Amino acid sequence: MINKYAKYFWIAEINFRNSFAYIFDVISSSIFIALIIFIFINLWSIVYGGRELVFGLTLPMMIWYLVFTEAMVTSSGKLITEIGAEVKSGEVANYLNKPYNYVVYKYAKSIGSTIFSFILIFAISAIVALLLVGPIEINLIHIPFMIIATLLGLTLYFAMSAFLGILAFWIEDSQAIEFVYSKLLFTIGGMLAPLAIWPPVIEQISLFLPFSLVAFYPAKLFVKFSFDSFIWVIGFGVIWGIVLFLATALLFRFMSKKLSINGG
Amino acid sequence: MVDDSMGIIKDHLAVSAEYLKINVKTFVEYRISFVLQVVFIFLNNVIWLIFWFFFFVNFPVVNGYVFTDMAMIYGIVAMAYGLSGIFSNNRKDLAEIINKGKLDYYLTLPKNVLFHLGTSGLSIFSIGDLIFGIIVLIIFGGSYPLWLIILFIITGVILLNGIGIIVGSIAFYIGNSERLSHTLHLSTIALSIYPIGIFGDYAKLILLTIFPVAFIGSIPLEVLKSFSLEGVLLIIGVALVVLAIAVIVFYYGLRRYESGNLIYVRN
Repeated sequence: MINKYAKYFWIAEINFRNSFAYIFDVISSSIFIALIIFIFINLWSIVYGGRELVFGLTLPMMIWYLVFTEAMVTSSGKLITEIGAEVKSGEVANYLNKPYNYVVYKYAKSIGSTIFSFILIFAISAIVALLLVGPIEINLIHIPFMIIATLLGLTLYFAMSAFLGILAFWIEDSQAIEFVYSKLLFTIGGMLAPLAIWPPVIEQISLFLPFSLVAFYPAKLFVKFSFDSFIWVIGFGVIWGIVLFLATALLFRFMSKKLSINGG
Repeated sequence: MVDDSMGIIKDHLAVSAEYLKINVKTFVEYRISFVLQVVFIFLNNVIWLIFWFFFFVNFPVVNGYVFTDMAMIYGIVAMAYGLSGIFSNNRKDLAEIINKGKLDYYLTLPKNVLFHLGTSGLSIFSIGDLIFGIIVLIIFGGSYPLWLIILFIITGVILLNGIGIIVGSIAFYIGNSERLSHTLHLSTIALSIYPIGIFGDYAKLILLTIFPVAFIGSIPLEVLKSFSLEGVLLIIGVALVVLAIAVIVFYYGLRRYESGNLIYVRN
């Protein structure tokens, strides 16, 4: 049983190490994210004016919240486009006779490089935040729990991307779907601002959608940790994770049958 | 002499029109994909605008700016970006074209290299941006003079192309600069959709001089809100200066261009 899954761990590990070869790519996109953080610092500084709290957060907490959400949403790259291209071109057929499950293989491959990108994007954006708004208080005991919430968020990002990428088999275009998916993460996922910015109805719906588990919840835990929130995030996240992976597996199986009819 | 120049311009415009026709035909061949891409990009922009609407519901005035100001900037930038993508999308891929030796194709043909290169690419997403821009400007730009909006869309296209050419031409000078070029393209868009008034003094200085993206959407908004002839002339002047610098940077760099032996299929 352990051996069955060990290969996926090694795939993730190899991809983490491979990422060092593309370090300038990641640094380049990290600089762009740092620029976005700089814009947000300017914008939110004006919004705060003399106010102590906005949506229950101080200005430094708001900026660090944004540093975290930006790293969560941008570190995985264009997964939908990547999976969509493999599905559309029929390249996915090459994976079917390999001794691994395509979806789990893609997950292991993606999570390895995503973790690498996350660390770098977070670190470079954090320098900008540290210089311009200063640090926030983080309790070291909370860090392992934050790491779990972060990994869960990145996993859900993958699960949604894989589902939408496989849909490209029928929809024909995955790049445009990627644009809309990213905008949903920006907005109702809480990347651009905490969900309290929305009217109560949209906020309540967003709180129960998986998008918020990618950006809003992990970032909120980062700036304002509570064990109650953590337990809610894990419980809620695991349920969405199971639903999304099952849906993706079913969709993939259905597509694979069609794929063989099409002759690959 | 004048007839010759007119003939050359006509000739180039005809080539550009042919490219546009061929590119549109190629995309329309895949109808579902074409419609989906246009609709999704439109939707993508709408989601963005909805976010800013609610942002301003929470904070109605941000340093003197209201939601309609943000929408106007976004509308002008979307129109300029859309038109630029339809008529000269290759500006975004210039660094890659130079690095991979794909410039050879353009050098061997009897048309102006920069013009031919720029006008031969089309981004289908741009049609979604264009439609979105038109709708936003109809809704929010009704109180401003139409000729001024059209003028600022044109200067926006010139600026986007000029900055795109400069950013892409870096490849002539420092070799593999595709990543840097891509980051600078993204930064151009990211910085051009925010009002200049939200930035601090140093950032303002950069956005008005060495990286003059504020002249794409933000400064035009200021001129629309309180008209001044000096403002209009300044925007036109900056656009033309950026374009002139772009042409100089490109052709100076072209002297350093070395072809490769990579064989590729041009599609």
